[in-house]
Amino acid sequence: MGAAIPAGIPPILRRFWDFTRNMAGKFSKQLPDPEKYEEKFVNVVEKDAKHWG
Amino acid sequence: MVSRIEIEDRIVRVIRGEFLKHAEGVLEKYKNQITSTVNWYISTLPRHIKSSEADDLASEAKIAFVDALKTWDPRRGELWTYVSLRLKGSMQDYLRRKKMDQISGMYEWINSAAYVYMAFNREAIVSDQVDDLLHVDSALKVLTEKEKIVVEKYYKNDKTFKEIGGEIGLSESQVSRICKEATRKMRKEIKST
Repeated sequence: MGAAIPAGIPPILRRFWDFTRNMAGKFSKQLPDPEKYEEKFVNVVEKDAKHWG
Repeated sequence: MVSRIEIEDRIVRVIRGEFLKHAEGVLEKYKNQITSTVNWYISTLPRHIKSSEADDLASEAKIAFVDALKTWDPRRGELWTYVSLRLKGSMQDYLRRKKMDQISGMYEWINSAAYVYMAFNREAIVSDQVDDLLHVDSALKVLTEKEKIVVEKYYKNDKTFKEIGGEIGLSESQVSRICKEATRKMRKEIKST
């Protein structure tokens, strides 16, 4: 069972929400302040998702 | 219609793009591991390379680390597993480019010894280089017959591992292993003299 998806997430991204969080977590773990970066990484995907076909 | 895999690739690409903006932070986090890897690699090298190339190898490893971040994909495994192999490879490549890896380094060394031998016969002696020659001579004594044959054919007759293997009935990789082992033994012997 994945984490709850916040409101305002584009429908297409909802399907990839768990994957996005998972990848954001793995990238952010390589940085000194993982929690801060995890949110940042999810946000860039959210922004990008607005341009997905 | 965009496939699932294309979307996942895009997500990874987008996150990685943002992640790379903070590469300095990643470098900082892995600083100790990088230093340990570089030190370990340097410890396996001959003394004359250790002293002259340590700083360059450390820089080379850092560049390789940042380069590896550009292609790391978390779906394929942990970052350090991926990066540590690249670090070692980059240091080896660096020395190879400078012809100073273990095998070609020994080749340069023997070449220089041969030059000293000729100089010796012309009575133009450079004492510290003569010492090198004597050390190489004594180091050759610790090799087995097969190792001596391989080393002689490789360094003296300039033959490839494949050619040597053909002559003595071994595969190219076996000859390469024998040559590496012989090089290691000679280096150990030279260090101890």
